[in-house]
Amino acid sequence: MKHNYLKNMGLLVVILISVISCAKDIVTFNVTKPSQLQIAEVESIAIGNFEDVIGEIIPLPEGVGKVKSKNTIRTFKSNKSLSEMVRAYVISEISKGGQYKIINSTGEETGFSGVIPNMAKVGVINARIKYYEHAKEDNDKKFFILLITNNGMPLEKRLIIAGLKAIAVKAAERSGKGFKIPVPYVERIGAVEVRFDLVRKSNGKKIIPTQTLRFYNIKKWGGDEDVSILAREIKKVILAKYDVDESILDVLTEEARKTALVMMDSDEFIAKGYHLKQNSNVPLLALDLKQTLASEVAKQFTRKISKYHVEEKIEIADGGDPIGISLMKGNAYDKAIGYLESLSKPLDLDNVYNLALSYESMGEYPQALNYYEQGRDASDGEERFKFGIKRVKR
Amino acid sequence: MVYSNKKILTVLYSMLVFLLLLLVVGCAPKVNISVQIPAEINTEGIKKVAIGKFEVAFIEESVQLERNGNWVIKKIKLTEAQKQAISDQVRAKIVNVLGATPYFSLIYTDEFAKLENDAALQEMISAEGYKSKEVDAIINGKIWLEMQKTDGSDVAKAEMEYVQGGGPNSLSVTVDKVVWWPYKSMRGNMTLEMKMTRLVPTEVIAINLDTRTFSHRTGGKPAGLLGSFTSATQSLRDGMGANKGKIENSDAVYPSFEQLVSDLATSIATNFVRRVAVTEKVVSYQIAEGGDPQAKMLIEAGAYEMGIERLQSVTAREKNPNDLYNLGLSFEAIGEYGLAGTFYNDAWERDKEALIFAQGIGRIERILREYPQVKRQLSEKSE
Repeated sequence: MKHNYLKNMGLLVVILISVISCAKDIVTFNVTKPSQLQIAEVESIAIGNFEDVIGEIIPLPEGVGKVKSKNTIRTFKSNKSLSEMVRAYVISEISKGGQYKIINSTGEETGFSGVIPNMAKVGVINARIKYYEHAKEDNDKKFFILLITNNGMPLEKRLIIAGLKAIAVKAAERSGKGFKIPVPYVERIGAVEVRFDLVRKSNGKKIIPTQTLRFYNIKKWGGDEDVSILAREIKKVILAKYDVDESILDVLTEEARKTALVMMDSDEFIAKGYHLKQNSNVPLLALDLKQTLASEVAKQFTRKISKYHVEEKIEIADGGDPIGISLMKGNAYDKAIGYLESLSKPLDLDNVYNLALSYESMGEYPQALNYYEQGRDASDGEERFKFGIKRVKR
Repeated sequence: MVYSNKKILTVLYSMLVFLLLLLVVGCAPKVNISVQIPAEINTEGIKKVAIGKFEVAFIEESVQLERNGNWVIKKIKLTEAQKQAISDQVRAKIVNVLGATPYFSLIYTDEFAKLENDAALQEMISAEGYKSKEVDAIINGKIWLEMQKTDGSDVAKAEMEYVQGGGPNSLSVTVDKVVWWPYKSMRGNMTLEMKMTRLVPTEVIAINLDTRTFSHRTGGKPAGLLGSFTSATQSLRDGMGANKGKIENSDAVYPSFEQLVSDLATSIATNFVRRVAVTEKVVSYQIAEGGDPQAKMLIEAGAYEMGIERLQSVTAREKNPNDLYNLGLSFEAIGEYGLAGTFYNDAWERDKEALIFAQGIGRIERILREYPQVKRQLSEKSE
């Protein structure tokens, strides 16, 4: 096993080295985006009534056809409370956006902070929350076929046999052949539906139409991965549309970032909680599930009514002037602008793009827009310029 | 899952950069510099802060035992006094983190902490029914906390290789076996709402909801490639981080409930403080190689003034870009950002493709952009 591990690590390093020459440099910066819906004449926000609705059905995710499989769980009937956490996430996201003054963050009548300003300009957020949660700790009866393989053969023959063995064993085990052994598992399912209303405090009229947002989650640790307590048709759609698990690529990127951070900025490392051990083989808790679902619906809703900040990661055009690229990689955007502007005109497309990107990184959007538009016109509408325009146009 | 080639290349590149960073940055000489970061939000006029109550929304602790696929789950009942003790512990941690920033003065009063909840606090603030008149703002919050310990086993097939002799025609077979791999694990989640309210005029300044989790497992079936990689990088970080050498960092040691509460709360509070206060942090920057070795030694030892003297005389004779960069670095370390920028630019003029010089310029650009804000925020507090 140690041999396999070393072989795998070795392979990874070889792949890494072979791709370095093709890799791109990235510029990272924060962008403030406007609310997705037009919100007129609202200056302050208050939390209104956040109500848990128990015993009602949460619709299945869109795309689930007729549920034929006979699994234990085929519907989601709200059974737990989540309103307090949804409230906390909504108000936290609104505070981060910085667009509104918060005058009541608790929803209690006595929770107003200070004098209520012009009531016609106060938006009150109400929510009806249906939350379903189910956890199962049990075992799957899994079949195991155990073989003895002769290794005293030429490599090509061994590879063919190993391939055939894997297919045959898997098929036989699935059809119930072999030793039957109970394999423990933990499976956790969650579903939330929130109907948000934003109403004017002065007259109770809706400022935007009711926003109904749903989110689902399912995860299993151990047991038989082909078996679930949730109907197959529902599970498939949830995994395809709502899977919030980090991909392998995200995990690797995150690891790289954390390790770089511990060397460069240990305070930030602790503030982000990167010093806390994380093991993906440990099943999530009920609180983890609650937090995932509440934060997702809260984020979706607040982006509709408030400006929000996102981190953009944009590739530097690698065909541009190498000195300009080096300055951008060093975050010396001001210097990069001065340098790129001093190059003889007309600039080629990559330099125009890098110049626009440098202006964008500095938050100088009109100049960035000017160069993105120049690049778009000169390139007959290259996508990277169009994306740039979309980001900086406000 | 399907990934685009571009994405894969980017990530693999990040990993390679990361591996190279370990090799290069880990060995490269560095200098630790203290920098000030401005508050994210405007806390103008707030100098004296009191800490209110941290209300418990949810606390649960449980222990799971699994044998042969059968589970026994035991929830540990916490009394109101125990819950209050946890709440007090979180509050104490926040006092600790806030006390470390020179930006705010803490007013040690229990007046606000005695109130039942946030609504009661807001009512008291609105009615100006408080006695501690010198307080400018109050920080209070809400806690969700869950911890679980598990004792169980993974069941998985493993291949055992049997080799006899080891010669060309010797016996070599692989035998499949089902193996029970015992493990112990622990997971914790703390979700903490922190709210800062100004007293006069009454205003909610910031609300932050943050989650920190901890999950650790010892034993169990061998991890795959990704698991091995993440656990190796984690061990590496433990060995080089701020907590290096601490016994809690050992893979074989599980933190106590109190220790975990403390770690989770500290991390969230540190993040909150960054939103509302100017924070000072220590960052490591690389010293350029290939310049005057004596000057490099002085910088490494933190003798920046002597380093500057030495480098000024060295660069007067010969303008080596590495010496110019190190001169800039020494000026940056003592807070002379204008001069630092000048020397970084001089170094860059002599080697325009050197990333380290561009990084120096980039740092100064950022400091100069943020400096007026930091200066304004700090002068408001010292008035």
